[in-house]
Amino acid sequence: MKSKIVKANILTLNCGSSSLKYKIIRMPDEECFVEGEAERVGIKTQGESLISHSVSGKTRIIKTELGNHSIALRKILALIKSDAQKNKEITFDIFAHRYVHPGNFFTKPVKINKPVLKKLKETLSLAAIHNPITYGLIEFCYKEYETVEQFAVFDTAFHRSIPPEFSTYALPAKISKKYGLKKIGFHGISHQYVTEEACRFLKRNIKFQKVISCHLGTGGSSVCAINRGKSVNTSMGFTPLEGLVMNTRCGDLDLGIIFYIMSKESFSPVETENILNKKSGILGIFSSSSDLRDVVDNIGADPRAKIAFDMYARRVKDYIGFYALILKKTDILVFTDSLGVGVPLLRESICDNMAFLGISLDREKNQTYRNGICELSSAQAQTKILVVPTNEELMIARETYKELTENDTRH
Amino acid sequence: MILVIDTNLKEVKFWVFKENNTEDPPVFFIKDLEEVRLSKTLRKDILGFTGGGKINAISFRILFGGDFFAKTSLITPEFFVKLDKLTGFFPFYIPLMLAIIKIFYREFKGVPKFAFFETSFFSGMREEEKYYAIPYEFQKNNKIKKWGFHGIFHEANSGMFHRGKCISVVFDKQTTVCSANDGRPVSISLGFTPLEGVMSRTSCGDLDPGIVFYLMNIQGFSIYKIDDILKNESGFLGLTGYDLELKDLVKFRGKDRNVRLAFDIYQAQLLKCIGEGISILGGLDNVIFSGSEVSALVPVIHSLLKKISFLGINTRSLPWIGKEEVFPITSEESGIKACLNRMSLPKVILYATVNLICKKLPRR
Repeated sequence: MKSKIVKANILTLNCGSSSLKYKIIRMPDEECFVEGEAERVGIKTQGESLISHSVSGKTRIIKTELGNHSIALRKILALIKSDAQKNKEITFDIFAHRYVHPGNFFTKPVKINKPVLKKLKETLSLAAIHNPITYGLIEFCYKEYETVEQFAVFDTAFHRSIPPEFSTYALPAKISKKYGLKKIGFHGISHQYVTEEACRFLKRNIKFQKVISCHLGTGGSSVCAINRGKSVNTSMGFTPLEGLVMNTRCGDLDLGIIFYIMSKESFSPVETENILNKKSGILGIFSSSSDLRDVVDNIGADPRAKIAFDMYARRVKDYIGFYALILKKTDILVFTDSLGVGVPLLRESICDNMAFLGISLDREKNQTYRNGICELSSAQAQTKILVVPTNEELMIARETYKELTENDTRH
Repeated sequence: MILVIDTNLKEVKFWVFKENNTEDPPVFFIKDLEEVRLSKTLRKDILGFTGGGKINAISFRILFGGDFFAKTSLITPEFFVKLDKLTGFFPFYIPLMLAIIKIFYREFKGVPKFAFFETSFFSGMREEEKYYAIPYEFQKNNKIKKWGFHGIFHEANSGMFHRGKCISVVFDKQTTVCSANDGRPVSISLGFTPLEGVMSRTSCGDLDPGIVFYLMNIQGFSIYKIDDILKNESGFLGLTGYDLELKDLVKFRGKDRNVRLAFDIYQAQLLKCIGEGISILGGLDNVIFSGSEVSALVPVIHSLLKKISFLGINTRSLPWIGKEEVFPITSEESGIKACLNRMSLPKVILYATVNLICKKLPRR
C-alpha cells in the first residue's frame, strides 16, 4: 500500500549563545520560504543588535534591542504573524528546536510533552549557556502555542561513533560510569551537514573521505575529525566548555586554574563557572567585544586584539594538527559558520604554514570568496579546502520530519 | 668534581660527577632534609662521600623560577633576594630551597654554584601560548600563565638540534611534550599547574573544565574532593584500578583490557600534544624521547611512532639498542629523525654545568 505523504511547515529555531536563527521549511519539499537571524542577542559588542528577516527572498533588516533570546523569539513571531496577515501561506504547524546537550536522556529527536520537559530541565547545567536558553524557548512555545507540536533535535547524536580512546577521560572509571562522564561533542548537526555537502560538491564518495570540519561561530566553535562519514573525534567534550577558544568560553584550560581562582578569590562554583563560560574567551582577552569580527577590525591598533586573534587561530591549528595525525591523510578541510565563512583572515591564519600536512590555501581565492560552497585550496594542495555555509535548520527540519513521519500520530 | 643537588620536601639527593670523566657513574647518596639543615659538619660529610676531591661546582635543580629566572643563574647574594620573592607561589618549597642553598653557599665558599630551573626555558614563549583565554587583567594580576615544566630536559633535548623543528618528550612522574624551533621553545603541554597536559599515574591530564562544575554544582562534590580525585585518584590508577608505576603497568598492556585502554588514552593525549606542536612549528625534523621512564616505555614510543609514520618516520624494529646515551631509533633514510635520550636529569645538569664553567659543551 502506498504510504500517505505528510506535509508540514516546520519552524526551526536554532539558538546560538548570541544568536537565534530560524526558518520555516515546507517538508518534504525542503522549500524554505521564511528565514532570518537575530544577531548579537544579549551580548556586549561594538555592533547593533538586529533581526534580518527574509520572506521568499526579500530581506528586511530590523535594528532592535535584543536583551535576551525570549525577547528575540517574541519579535520574530510577531514578524511572522505580521507577514501572515498579508500572505496566508506564511504559516507553520510545528516548532523544531536544536537542543545542545540532552545528557544521557535522548539519542534521537523527541516530541515535547510534560515528561520530556521534566527530563530536559535536569540537563540545564550540562550546557550552561545553550540549554537554559533553548529550554526557556521550548517552555514559552509549550505554554503560548498549545496546539502547535514541538520537537527537539539533538546536537550530540553524530558523535556517538567516537572510539573509547578519544571519548574516555582519564578519570576514575567508577565515577565516569556513575555520572556518565565522557566526550559527547556538539555541533553534530552542522559537522554532518557540511561534510555531506562537501563530498557532494567534490563528487566524492563520503565512505572514502577523511574530513576535518571547523565550525567557527560567533558563539560556540568546534573542530571535528570525520572518517568515512562518521565522527571519530571532536574538540568539545562532556560540555561545550572544552576545546577551542570561543566568544566568551575559555575552551581547554589547566584545571588547576579553577581551584586557584576559587581559593584565591573565594568565588563559588557557580561564579567561577560563569567566568569561564560567559566572561572568558575572546571577551576575556579583548574585553571590548566578544565577536572575533570586532577583534579583526582592531587587530592593527590594539595589541590585545592581536593576542586574542592569535590565540583563537592557534587553538584551531592545534586541533587540525591533532586530527591530521589521527586521520593520517586529510582529504577535505571544511570551514563553516559565521567566522569560518565570513573571516578570510582567520582561514589564512589557520592554514598558514600547514603545507607539510597537505593544507595550502590559495590566498587570492580566499580573499575574493563571497558566498556559497567554494574551494579555496591552492593547485598543489593535497587537501581540498572548502568553505561550506552550514544549514543546521534544514538538517533539523529533515530530522524532525523523519521523526514525524516514522511515528506520526496526527493522521 | 661537580656536585648536583635535587631537593624535595623530605630529602636531599646528591650526585657527585668527575667532570673529566663523565662516563663514570656518579657517586649518589641521599640525606634526610632535616639532617642537612641541622648538620654542622655538612662539608666534611660530603667530602667524605666523595673521597675528598676538589669540588669545582655545585648545581641545584629548582622546580620553579617564575618571572625572575629566565635562564640558569649563578648563585650570588642577589639570587637569594630574587628567589625569596617567589615564596608566594610555593610557600613551603621556596623557603626550603632558600635554606638549603644558603647552607651550601656558606659551607662551600669560593665554589661556583648554579641554579637550574625547570621553568626558565619557557619564559620566552609567545603571548598566545603563555596565556589562557580567561580575563586578561585577572591573569596578569594573579600571575596565571603557562610556566611549563621539565625545562632542563627540553632545553638539552632541543639544543641537540641547533637547527630545525623538534618535538621533545619527557617521560617522568609527569609526561610533558615540548615543541621547539631552532632550539627555542614554541609550546609546552604542562601549564600553570601539573594538572594540564598528559595524564600521569594518578592525575587526569587534559579534561573538559565543565566536568569540574558538573560534579560540584550538580552532584555536590566539594572542591577539595574533586581536587583530590583529579590529582590522586585519576590517570592510570583511576582507569585500571592498579596502583603501579608505569614501568610495571606497561607489562600488562597486552593482557588486561583496562590497561590497554589506559595506554590508548595516554597515547591519544600524547598525539594531541604532538599534533599541536607540529601544527605550530609548521613541520617536523626531529623527535626526541627522554626522562627517567623512557626505557620502560619503549613499546609505547614504538607504537606512537608507528601511528605517525605517514609523516615520514621510518622507525627501526625493536629492540632498540644503542651504545651511546643518545641514539637514533629511526633508519638512516627516515625523513624525520627520532632518537632516544637515556641520560639522567643529573647528567643533563652536569653537562650544562660543565658548559658553564668551561664554556664548551662535551660532545654528545
